[in-house]
Amino acid sequence: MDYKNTPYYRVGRAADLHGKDRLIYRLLEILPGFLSWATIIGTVLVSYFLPFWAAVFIIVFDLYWLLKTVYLSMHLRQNWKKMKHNMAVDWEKMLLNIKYDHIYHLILLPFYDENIDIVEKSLQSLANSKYNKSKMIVVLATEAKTGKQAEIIAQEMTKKFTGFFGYFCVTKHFLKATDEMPGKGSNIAFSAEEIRRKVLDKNMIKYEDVIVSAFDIDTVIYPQYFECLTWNFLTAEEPLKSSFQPVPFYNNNIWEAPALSRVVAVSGTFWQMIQQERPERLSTFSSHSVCFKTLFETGYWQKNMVSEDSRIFWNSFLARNGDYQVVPMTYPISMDANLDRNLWHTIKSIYKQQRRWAWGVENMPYALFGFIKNNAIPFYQKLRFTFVLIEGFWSWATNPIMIFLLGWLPVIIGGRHFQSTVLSYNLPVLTRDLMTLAMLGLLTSAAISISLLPPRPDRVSWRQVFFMFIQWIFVPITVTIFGAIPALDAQTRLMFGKYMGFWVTPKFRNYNK
Amino acid sequence: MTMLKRRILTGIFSLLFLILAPIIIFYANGTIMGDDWNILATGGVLVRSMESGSQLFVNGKLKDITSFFTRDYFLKNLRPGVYTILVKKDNYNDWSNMITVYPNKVVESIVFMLPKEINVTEIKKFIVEDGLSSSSIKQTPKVNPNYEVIDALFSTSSLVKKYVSVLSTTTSTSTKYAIGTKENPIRNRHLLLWSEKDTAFLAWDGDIDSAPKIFCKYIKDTIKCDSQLIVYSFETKIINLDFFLGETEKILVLMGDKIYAIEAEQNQNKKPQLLYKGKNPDFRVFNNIIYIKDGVFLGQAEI
Repeated sequence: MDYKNTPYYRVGRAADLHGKDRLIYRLLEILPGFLSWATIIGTVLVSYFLPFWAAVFIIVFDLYWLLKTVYLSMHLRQNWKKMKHNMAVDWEKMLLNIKYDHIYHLILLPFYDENIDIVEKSLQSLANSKYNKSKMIVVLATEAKTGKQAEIIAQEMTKKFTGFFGYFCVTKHFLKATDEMPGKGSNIAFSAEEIRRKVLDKNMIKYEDVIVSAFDIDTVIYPQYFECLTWNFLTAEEPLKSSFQPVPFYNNNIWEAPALSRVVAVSGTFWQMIQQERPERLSTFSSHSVCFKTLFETGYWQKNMVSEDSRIFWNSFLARNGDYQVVPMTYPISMDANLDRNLWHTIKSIYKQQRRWAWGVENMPYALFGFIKNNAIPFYQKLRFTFVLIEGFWSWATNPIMIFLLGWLPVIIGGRHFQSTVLSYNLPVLTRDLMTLAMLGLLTSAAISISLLPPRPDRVSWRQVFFMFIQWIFVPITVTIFGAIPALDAQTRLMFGKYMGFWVTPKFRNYNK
Repeated sequence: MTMLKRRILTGIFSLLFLILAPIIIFYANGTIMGDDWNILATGGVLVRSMESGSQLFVNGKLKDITSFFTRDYFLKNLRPGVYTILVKKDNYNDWSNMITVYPNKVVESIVFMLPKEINVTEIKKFIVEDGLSSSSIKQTPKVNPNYEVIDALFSTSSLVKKYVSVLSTTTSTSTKYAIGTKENPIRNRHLLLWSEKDTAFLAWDGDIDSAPKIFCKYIKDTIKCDSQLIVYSFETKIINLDFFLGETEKILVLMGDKIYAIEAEQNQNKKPQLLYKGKNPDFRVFNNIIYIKDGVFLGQAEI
């Protein structure tokens, strides 16, 4: 039986299953939180009872972290060079020898209650695209429950942008209480199906000729995004078995956002750039693209969970017995960095956004359960992805805590005997030295981040640009407070079955600055 | 990056990890390669709290000159054995210690050096108020209120009040306890200080596992802590003693016409350091200041 037709395919949480399956799924939900907490509590206990071995572990771990930082920095630098090249390339020229006029782009912009300026800027960037706009189907996917104001904005956008594109549509999603969760997934899944019936079928547009881009409402594209995407689609080995992943920049409001927000945002960009160099580990994240035929066969985005952006990859992967991949585009799209009314609200927003991203851990039990149930997936692939998933979520939640908070623990609680050993005296010195070496890699990050900034507005002084460079000293704080802790928070919630709902990141741009 | 390139890179980094990890662990634990390629388990000595500008000698060889920011020095990779540590600074008493280094262990030694000349500033009994310095008006000296307070510290009644108040409520404050005796030691949290004839003792009455390092020593690779130690046996009878400026590991003693300071640390080379020499002096430590009374002279030591 096709995995797609099993009851496991659309499972959102353990409660959607029965009997033994529910138990297995529940254990898999507990697994990431258990591993992270076991590591942290284990480090504390071992530091107390077996401080020598805790110190050995910490030194080995620090070395691993240093080498990993250097290793990933090399990937980052490589991807940065590739991205600079891709941003300079004339993609229209690249398409000259390829037949592509049959390709349509369906762009889904899920809209909740964001400011009209944000919606307009996104649509305007699509209108400014160099791609043949008659081949663009732009959809403002609204939610019925957001009320009058959102409706007015949708009407205004319809007035302004109808005629710019081949098709400009507004869909209105009514939440089905039975099997849907409020959020982006249910909205864009509804919207895609609406467009299939009302535009594609009606106009006899072939599904395999349509590339769907599921964006966020603040997504602003670079002028040749669709040319680049088309080229990637048409030159991919298996375009119908692939998703296409751009690199998310958070440049829309980067000059207004505070340093903490910038560091978190750019760190996210860097992580995606690193992952683009390791496509075998890549799953879809945030704004991504996929052929409509593939999407339709997959059954659109899952509606009963939060992180639909990555789940669509796992749905496709399991439905195709592992014969599915993500193609890295190494081309950017721009979104908003976290910015709210004031610094405190911004900090809260960063935390909540990071926790929502970390809630992507809900995909781990789904994927691992799928690996158990789908025997058609090659064993090696299962093993590799199991490692990638477990290592990824485990290191996200534990590594910064281990390095920045627990590194000196054996020295503090290891007792008199350990405290008088050479190892005890060398541990803080070694930890400090290894971390200092690792932090030197931040110089590369700082330099790359400066090179990726949008043009400096006149109102921004060179002093601020300089701060953009030295802001990287915040990394130990950001990776702990806005990395490990929200990840641990999300994993703990999943472990205890306190499932998270969708949280819409407030979008705020200070135009007066 | 191509898959092949990444695999090579992963291989190189994995190899680096496998090579470096044991080397770093052994090094961190004090295990090094000797001159003749044999594996050596070394130990270390942490020399702490040196005055800035001090010269540190190990077995007669200059190792370091301290600065304001580096007043501690960690002597590492020392082969097991006995080492003589000497710290010198101009115009200060030399400090020395003989330390036994054990494999994979670190011994801490806290340096205690006093200047050779310690100034004692007189606290005047009378002060002249400023302001009315006209030659026609004769200035009348006023009694210095600080003098009265400090002078009162030296009266027997205030001593009894100060120290005996910590005793049980059944104890009468009129009882003439000898201060700094075994029955009535001077207490600093869990530390008890007293003298018997010419010997100063220090004891710990808290949990033995949390006793300060000065109570502990290595015996066959394990640390053994005692609850009592002899600080020093002097040549003459101790008249008065107290903790040195609130510190728990150094003490002050009065013998005859001299006041000395000495560390409590177990150090074979330690010597009493002269703080004051007078005719019939006595001292009190109050609010982290050493007050000295010698006949009608009352002053404070400038340390």
